[in-house]
Amino acid sequence: MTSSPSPSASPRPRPYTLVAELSHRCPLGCPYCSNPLALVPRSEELPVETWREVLDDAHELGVVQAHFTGGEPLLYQELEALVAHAESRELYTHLVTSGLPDGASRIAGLARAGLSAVQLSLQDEGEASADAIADVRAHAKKLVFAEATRSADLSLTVNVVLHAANIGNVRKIVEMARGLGASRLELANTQYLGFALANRASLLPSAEAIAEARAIAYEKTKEHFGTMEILFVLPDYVRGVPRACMDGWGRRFVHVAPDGTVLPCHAASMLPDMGFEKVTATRLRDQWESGEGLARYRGTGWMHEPCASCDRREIDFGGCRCQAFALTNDAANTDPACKLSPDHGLVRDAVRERLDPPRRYLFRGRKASS
Amino acid sequence: MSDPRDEAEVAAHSAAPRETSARRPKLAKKVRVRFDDREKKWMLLSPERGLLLNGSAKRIVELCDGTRTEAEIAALLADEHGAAPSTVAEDVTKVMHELRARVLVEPGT
Repeated sequence: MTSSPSPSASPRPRPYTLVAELSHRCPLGCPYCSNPLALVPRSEELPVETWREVLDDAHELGVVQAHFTGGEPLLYQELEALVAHAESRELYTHLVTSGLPDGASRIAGLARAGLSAVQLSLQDEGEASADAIADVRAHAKKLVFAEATRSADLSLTVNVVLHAANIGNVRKIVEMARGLGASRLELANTQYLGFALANRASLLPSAEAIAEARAIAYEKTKEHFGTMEILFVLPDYVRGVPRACMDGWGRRFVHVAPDGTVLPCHAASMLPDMGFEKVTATRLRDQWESGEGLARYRGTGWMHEPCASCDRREIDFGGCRCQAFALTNDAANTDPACKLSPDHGLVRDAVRERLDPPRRYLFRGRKASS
Repeated sequence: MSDPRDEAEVAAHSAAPRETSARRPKLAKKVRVRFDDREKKWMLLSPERGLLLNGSAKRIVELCDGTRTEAEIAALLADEHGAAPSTVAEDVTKVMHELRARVLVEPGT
């Protein structure tokens, strides 16, 4: 006799981190953005009372960290009130921002509201190159924001997304971050989803450039030990091993999009027929327990071969569902970044067919309403 | 914007400790230490990380207030636990290395 266990009978994993994507609007147009091509317009953004309820539910579910992100979270006018509310629930509050448009004048108030830490995105080391990538004059304002963050006595992480146009500048980028007083630097290779996938041929660096950047990052990690932590996130395209996307679907992270849709990650709204719901229809705490979309790829029960019998199935969880869908049109397939995937040739071909030099990018948001 | 990172992907992370004997470690401002009701343990929170602390790690973290050297922290712990200072010192060195690698104590302390 066999019987399949009821999904509601299995204990739910505990989420540790809420990613609160307050707005998809962004002053920048970065071509490496992995936001979905269909962005949520301002008119559909959640009111502050609903976000408070989301924070309450997250706390109740066991969440200890709240990331305020976007798009650009500073474009959400009641950001300060939300930081204060999260702090009152003992959540660690992290602002993930471009610093624009008005971060420098608001950061002291955010610190008073209880903000725990700031992550600032920078596009490159030199102003001209950085502004060309952002498609807007932003770099100089970002440096002012970094200084204001330091004046407000907040700890700063600098995040730089790496691609063909800036990967050769890693040494200078490290020194820039150090000069800004960052205690942590994330050098994150582009994830090819959303706009980044549309621009993939122009963004992909050569394997040699990646190896060189990695060696420099390693050397600099030792040099700045105890002063600035450096993380170098290897790109899955050249690793042959998929990333453990979000530490597993619906497991440790819960993501709420600007319109209140509860997702396992920021890109999953691109997947069709998932049954994702908004918090305005079903509260977050109930969705985590019984939401259809969040249950779909949880654990390992959904896997096909080669994942189903793979030794790494509980290490990388089959990789990224969104990448599997974007490249193979089936989110249940093994992530093609994995060398064991029958579709791995798609990734190898993309690396081989990269454009050198890059052609003009599709800039984020240029096709979207805001 | 970036999304949270899987630590297993992080390649450039380990490094050798430097001479630290004269320093008086002080917890970095970005660190929050909170009691976790579910695990019934103390948790050390920093950007994109949460570390559950066992009893002695919690005490070591607590003693990183900028007034004691590592040797003094070890001596105090040994005293509290009735243990040999040499075995405790090893624990302290290990925890301090982790904290310094992640810049969870103020630079230079």
